Amino acid sequence: MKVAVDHELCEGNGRCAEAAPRVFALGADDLSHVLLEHPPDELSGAVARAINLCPRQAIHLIED
Amino acid sequence: MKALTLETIDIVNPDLFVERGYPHEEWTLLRREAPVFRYERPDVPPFWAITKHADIMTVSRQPDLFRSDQILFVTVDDPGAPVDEVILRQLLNMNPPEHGAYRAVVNRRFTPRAVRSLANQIERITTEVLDGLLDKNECDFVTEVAAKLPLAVIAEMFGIPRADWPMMFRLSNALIAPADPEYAGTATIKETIDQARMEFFQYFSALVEDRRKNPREDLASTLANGCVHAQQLPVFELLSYFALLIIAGNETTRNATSGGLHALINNPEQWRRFQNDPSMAPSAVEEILRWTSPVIQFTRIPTRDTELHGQQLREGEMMALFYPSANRDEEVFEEPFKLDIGRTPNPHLAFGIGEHYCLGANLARLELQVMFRQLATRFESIELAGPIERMRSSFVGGIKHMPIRYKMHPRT
Repeated sequence: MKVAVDHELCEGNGRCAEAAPRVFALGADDLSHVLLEHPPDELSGAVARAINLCPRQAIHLIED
Repeated sequence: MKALTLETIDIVNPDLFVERGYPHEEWTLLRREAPVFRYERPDVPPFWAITKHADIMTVSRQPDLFRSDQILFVTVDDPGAPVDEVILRQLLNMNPPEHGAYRAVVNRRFTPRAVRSLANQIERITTEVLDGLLDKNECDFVTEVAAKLPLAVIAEMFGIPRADWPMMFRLSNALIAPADPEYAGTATIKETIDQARMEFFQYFSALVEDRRKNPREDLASTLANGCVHAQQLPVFELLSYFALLIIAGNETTRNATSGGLHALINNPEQWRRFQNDPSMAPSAVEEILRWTSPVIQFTRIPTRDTELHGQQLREGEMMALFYPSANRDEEVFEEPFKLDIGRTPNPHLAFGIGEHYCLGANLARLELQVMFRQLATRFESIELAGPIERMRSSFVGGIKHMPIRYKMHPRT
């Protein structure tokens, strides 16, 4: 499974970057970019929080 | 202490919203005993009342299964209300993929970064509005303060001249609460809506024509010259979009402002806490949003038979999501009926979540933070000088008038 942000939904709210700064970062394009598509296990809690907190529900775990 | 039962509670009559405000006792009963409840009453088209935080999240996250449609909210039948008529066609009525295409026309202007660039302007407008209170010690907080900031901000974003702001205010009120006699006069709901829409559309048509000929940097130009699928927006959808942004940009923030001050007045220890540390504005505003939750409900309709929290929903059956109820969900919030301006985390759903998450959320937050920080620092004391008057609506919870008596610090 890898982490992906749907750029059609993303509006740069940045909750993901707050919850999991090693996994997500807002770019100059005001969109969230995934820094680690396969984050280590110890970040799974933070990633789960990011997925939940995203106001647009734009973050997904997808099959590789 | 009246005994509430599932068979007799009323959660949609707009008169009750005027009398007692939000039906929190009723929603608490529903959350506890029937979180997905088939609401059937003689004068209301039947619907499923969805009252829990988790269920509203589940529904909101699946816009293909639970679609938005023409009817935005459930209420009691009124012979003077429009039936089966398309009033506006805009983001709230749309579904993926069309919804995203329309939202993309303006959403860049509402991102946190874009909104931050408005901070100085919002500060200036707030300062001016509150300066207007310096030479007296009583006012109607709603009309003289709460209503002015969001109206000025959205109108300036649009490029609408100040002379036209009273008209924008009047038409917004008529379209969002046509069942309130203060906004409708003696006209029926349908007459009020038709008249307000016609005036809005005439005004926006002229604005569109101008901005197509002479585009500026304003939001009106972005909309007028915007494209969906490489084409300019069709007229009805374009004018509806203008109306949506003006109304939404105007009404809900006003209600959070008045409702927030009302809550602080009724919770003096929280007010003092805020005055002692105005840097708490961000968490205070989140708590005000959770507490006031100005949007009472939005509807959804299942596109196929489905199950929700053990109930079988049939395709096409109206559902109503009650956001203020989610915001008092005891399974999500500790002591939900306690106002705590330091509450963290605060996963409220005042702005919804998912596909239709409030486009103006970041703008609303900034306006509220600036306003409440100034209220906390510029006022020594604020108290009610009379009873509040609530808006007659089961869609948006508003205070129309709030007389206050106050002492301000002199301007330095």
